[in-house]
Amino acid sequence: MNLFKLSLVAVAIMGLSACSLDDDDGRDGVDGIDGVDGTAGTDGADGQNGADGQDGTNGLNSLVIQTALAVGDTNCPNSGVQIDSGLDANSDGALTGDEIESTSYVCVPASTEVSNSELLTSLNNDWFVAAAAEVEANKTVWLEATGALTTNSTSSAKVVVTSKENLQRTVTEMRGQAKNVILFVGDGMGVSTVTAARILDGQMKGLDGEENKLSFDNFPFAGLAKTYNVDAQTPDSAGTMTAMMSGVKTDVGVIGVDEDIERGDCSTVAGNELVTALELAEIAGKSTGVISTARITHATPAATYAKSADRNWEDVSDMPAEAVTAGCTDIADQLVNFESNLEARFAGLDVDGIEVVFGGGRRHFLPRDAAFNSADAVSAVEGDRTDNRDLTAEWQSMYTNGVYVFDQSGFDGLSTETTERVFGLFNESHMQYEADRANDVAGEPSLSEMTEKAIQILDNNQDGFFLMVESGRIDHGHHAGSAYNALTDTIEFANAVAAADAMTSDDDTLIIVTADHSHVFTIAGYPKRGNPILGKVVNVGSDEPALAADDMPYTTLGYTNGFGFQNLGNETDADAVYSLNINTGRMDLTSVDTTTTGYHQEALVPLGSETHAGEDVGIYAKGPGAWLVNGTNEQSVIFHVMDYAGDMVEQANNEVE
Amino acid sequence: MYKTIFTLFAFCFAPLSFAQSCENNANALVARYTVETHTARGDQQKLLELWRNERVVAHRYPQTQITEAWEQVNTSLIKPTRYFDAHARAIEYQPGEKVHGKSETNWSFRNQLFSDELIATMTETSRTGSGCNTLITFEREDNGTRLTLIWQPALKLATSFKAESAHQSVHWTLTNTEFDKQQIEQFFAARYAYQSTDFADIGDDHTDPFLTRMVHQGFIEKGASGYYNSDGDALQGGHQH
Repeated sequence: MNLFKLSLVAVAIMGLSACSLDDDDGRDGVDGIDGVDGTAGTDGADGQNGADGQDGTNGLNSLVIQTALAVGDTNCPNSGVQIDSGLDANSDGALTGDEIESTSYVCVPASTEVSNSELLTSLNNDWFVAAAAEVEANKTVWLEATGALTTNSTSSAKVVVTSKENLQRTVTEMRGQAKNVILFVGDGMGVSTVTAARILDGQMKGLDGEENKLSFDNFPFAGLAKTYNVDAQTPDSAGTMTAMMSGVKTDVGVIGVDEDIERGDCSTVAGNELVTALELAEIAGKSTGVISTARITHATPAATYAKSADRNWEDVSDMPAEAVTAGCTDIADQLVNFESNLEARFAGLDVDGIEVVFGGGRRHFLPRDAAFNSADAVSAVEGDRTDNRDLTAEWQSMYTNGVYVFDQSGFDGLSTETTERVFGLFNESHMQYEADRANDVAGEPSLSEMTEKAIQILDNNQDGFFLMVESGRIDHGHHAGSAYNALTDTIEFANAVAAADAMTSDDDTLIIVTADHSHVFTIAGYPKRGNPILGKVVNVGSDEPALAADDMPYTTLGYTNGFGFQNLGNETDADAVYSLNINTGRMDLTSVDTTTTGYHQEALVPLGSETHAGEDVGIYAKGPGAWLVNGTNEQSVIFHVMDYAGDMVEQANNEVE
Repeated sequence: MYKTIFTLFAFCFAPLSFAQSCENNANALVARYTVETHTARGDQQKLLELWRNERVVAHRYPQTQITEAWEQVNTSLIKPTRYFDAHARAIEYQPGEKVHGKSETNWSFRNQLFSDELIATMTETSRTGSGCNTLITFEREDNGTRLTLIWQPALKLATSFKAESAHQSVHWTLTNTEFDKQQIEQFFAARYAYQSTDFADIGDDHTDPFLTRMVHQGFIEKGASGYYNSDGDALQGGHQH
């Protein structure tokens, strides 16, 4: 700023100097002609002097003109003064055209600083203040996360400047700092789902909604994951979860095996099995857990522990006879026999098995015999197994100190400090949507409750733990075209993340939150701030729903394909729509309350089930190694972040070598 | 609301042919119906079988080879399952969900084809027989539609039902009733053995040809009986139209 002011003073002085120049004096007159000489003789008297000559004409005026130049001038981009000088040849008092003999400029120098007083409007703005603080916080978080900051106190932070070699050493030393690793997977939780859930959550709290944050929105590191499968542009949960758990992308529909598999062909499994993060943790002596609100044999949880040529081989009755004959085992069997199966793959290995299993899918563990029905059964015959095996009984005989539970009361009765392991199957098929949970026959815990209980059990191991938590029914809500169910399950998923975050330390626990894939779910139109996210679009400045070109209102949320509009009122079970006929296209929503639990959004392309989408999904992370999450990544990178943070491969290698 | 109107045709029924023994179990039977629909566009005849086995009831439609079944979980929860007999495949629903957009909590509607609520809205016009062989004729006239139901209270079974209007008449006739427990058990056991898919999972698997067809075409709703009014609503009770 000082430079700017000085320059202006200089300009003023120069101007004054130029204007003080005087006019020239007139020239002297011409001398008279000498007299003629007289004849020789007496010298006559001297002749008289001639008269003075006439005065010369006045000289020309010299003028100096100053012209102010605005910002953006070619010669003075930051403004200044143009100085023209020359003789006023036509004596009109102005300096024009050819009269200008010289031009010079005095320019204002470029501004390199702006005073706070000049930016008060911005600096005092709440958004500006908050964003600036966030940047400072992010810098501190980054420095702390990368080891460049040697204190936990922001105010007394001391930055250690490191050489490249030191930085490399620091990165190496930071490997393996995560004693615990928790991977949260929101099945089908694309970015639009996160955004809409955050708004709904905020609006349920009485806020406008948009400013709200879900628990993992506050995580310091985030990136994107490319979700495609090796053979599919738009992926499924089996291929994506295998990538996340094993670090290797694979085909759609297969579990824990690489792309050399042929889906449905048992003979191609052998030799193509991948090792998962859960298995590495198990080998390393950590406690392990798997939680899902879907069937525990469903693709996402299955990819943590099973190897299968087909995601649908959840129990033996789902498998082709030739696959059974060829020696492939169903996914439920692989869960119960996880310990022995893992030990069989590595010579001399001795592990103690998965400590915590919470989810649905009891049908795949029980014989197809009503005598084995639980008190929570909703079918005349609860079990599906055709080999007459009761895998819940086998698990209990295998782990005599373990606890098998199937309802809320059994869950509530678990002693987390004395329970070594627990096997909880809370539903015959998928567990209930969170919004529908109260309708369960025998009651079932929420995802938050399961997460808390699992950590309380797993953290009894001083060597740490690996836990995978899936919210499996976000995906199902979307498939049914029910934003309400998808979003309320996402909110509960965020609650579970918050619970885990509160129960663990950033110093030794890496938490990653992500999705396996997205859905064709959109937030559209120009609704005003705070407009109900489940409602019709009301434009800024209006109180009435906006009308589309067809003169009918439309909702903010919608689907590109699927079942389409349904208005089931207070229905909270999104599956209900499946019993109805496809109803895509535009509907007159004028008298429809689209915010009810049973409203299903309009869809464009008529399909019996709404589909996954192929765009990237978010990765949110905190804790040791979380700083590796940034940019756009192949989804398989998530495994490698977990491996770096927990040094899983190295620790496992130490156990098997 | 019903848009059917009375017909002048009076249904004649021979009640003695359906006289039942009190030893017969109303909770385990198969009842076979013919359903004739007469409209200006022509006549149709469909078949319907009602299979009961205690807390499970099924409606089988031989012509479309679809069986719809419901299991009574408790007094407020019913679990629907649809069996596609031609494909030996089943689609299971979560209990408590709605069908046709209406709550699937009315067990009597599924178990009897005519709900207690519907019957309660009708007027008893005649009663024949006695004890287990009692037959009651109920009638109701509503917005131009005349409903006539001949009812066996012992078996909670209709022997005849007519819905008549000026433009359409639907006539159900009970043609056969059996109480062979073994046959009934086999009927359900065969369907329990079908490859079953939870409907929530259909969207996740586009490689299964059967499921893919459902994804692309939607649920094959018209396997149902044709017991719908012109609005497409099932004839469930007296309150829903």
